Amino acid sequence: MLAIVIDDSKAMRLILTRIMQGLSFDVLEAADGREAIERMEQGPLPDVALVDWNMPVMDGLEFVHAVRRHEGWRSVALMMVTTEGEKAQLVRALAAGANEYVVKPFTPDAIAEKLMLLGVGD
Amino acid sequence: MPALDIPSVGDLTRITDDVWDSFLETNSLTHQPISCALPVSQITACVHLSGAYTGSVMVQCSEAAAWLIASALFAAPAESLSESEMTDAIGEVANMIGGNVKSLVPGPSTLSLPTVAHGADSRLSVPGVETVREIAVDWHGHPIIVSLLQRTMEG
Amino acid sequence: MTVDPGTFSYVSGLVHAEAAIVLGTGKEYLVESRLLPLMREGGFGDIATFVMAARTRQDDGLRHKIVEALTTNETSFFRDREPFKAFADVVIPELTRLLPEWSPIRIWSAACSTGQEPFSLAMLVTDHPQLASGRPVEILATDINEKVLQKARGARFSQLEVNRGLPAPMLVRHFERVDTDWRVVSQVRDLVSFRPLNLAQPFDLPCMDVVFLRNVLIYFDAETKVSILRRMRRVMQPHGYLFLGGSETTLGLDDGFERVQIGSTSAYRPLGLGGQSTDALTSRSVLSRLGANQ
Repeated sequence: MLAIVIDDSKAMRLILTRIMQGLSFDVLEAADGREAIERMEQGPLPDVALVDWNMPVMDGLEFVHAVRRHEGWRSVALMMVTTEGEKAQLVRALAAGANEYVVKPFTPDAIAEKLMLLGVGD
Repeated sequence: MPALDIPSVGDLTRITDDVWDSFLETNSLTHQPISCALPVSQITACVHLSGAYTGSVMVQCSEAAAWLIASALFAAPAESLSESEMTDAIGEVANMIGGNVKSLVPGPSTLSLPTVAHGADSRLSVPGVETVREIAVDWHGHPIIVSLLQRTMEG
Repeated sequence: MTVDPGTFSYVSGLVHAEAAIVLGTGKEYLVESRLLPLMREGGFGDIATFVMAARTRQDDGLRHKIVEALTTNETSFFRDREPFKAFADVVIPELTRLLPEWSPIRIWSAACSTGQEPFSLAMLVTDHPQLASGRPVEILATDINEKVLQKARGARFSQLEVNRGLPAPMLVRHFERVDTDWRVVSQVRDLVSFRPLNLAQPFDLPCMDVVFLRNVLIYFDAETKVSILRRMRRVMQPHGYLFLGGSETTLGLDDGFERVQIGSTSAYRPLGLGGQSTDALTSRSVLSRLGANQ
């Protein structure tokens, strides 16, 4: 199974990559939404994207919109992993097409359980 | 001027504890009175809030503590990390604390990307802001200060 | 820091006397991890000294805290998922078909800890299309530990707690933010009532249609397990469902239940008088609800 981890913080990308590798995923990384879209256009499609909200160039919400506009990318599960914790932000993200949402800080178990809820990596 | 709703000391403490428990070390922070001294060579990581609320959230600690934080987040010995990795780590800590603070102040507001400064006490160089909430925690002998700064009404 | 045999023996004796819970050899790590925070809080240097103080003091405050620390069970929303799926997809539809419209559905979360389990059930009830007609549903949530009950009544959960096992769309539907926490909205909260109850002591409750008794039997000795299951059966409707924890079973403890497979999980249903399976009891349970004589 393939995951893409999208966050402008290298430390956060590393933390999420370690968690996903521990769950037997191969992992791609991107530092912003634009880079992530490019990687997804080039290579194999990930099963799940873990995406931060606040990033330069293209933020997480724009990324979610972009992925959901793409006909062939319906199978990609989108999980936001972000500090944006207001209920209104969750509502916006889910309305834009995000499937799951984790507010930072989080524990590895939280990610693993959310993945199970999505039916990814079962 | 009516006072804005701002997080309490308990809120800041809980937020900081959650970040430490999740990514650093569980139950490793103890709380102490505000007047603890930071060494001159300190690190200040900052995120800014703008919108319905204008202010900043700052995390200040010694360089030594910042390297320890980076080492924990990157799960690598501090010696193997670069300066930019260290600032990335402390910046992400400020980002997480700041993001949670943002949920507690009047919204909607946006959170800036983190900036990290070395050395000087950045509080003095930001005009027109005052510290409205602050906590000091001790992490294995390292003081860590988390503060909420707000644009002064006259600023 | 490790717990010495004398200290461990005292603590397990205390917890057994107060809560019928068995802490056998091998559980020293549990005692250590649960008592460390209390030890620090009280300013003691090591666990042995802390426990000795609890043992020798006149007032039972510290002893009470020890029992509480060891009867606090880990829980999370929709823990293990499958039993909740079975509840929503099979059990509720069956009960709505079986029971007359006016008949309430009674659910018991029998070791509810900090409340995630009963609130998970309450969310499923609130969302369920077959319960939209306004049929009354009552969820009773009990625990021996007053401290966790207090937290559960508040219906407030931290960011870390709601990150666990709770689908984001449900978080948005059923919770509102309060300071750093998320609180269950009143429509869902009002379905649940919380009460202290010691499973190892006799209990007197109305008959239940569904019981969640998950991951708590394991803490009791065989004799206590047997008596709990026997008393459980007495407060269950003949058509009722009992859900235990993943690794738990009534096998060898009570032959008054039959195990049924629902999806990838199993549940236990009371066997009727004369060992009849529950299917045969359908009409009997409807009649018992109507108060007819058997």
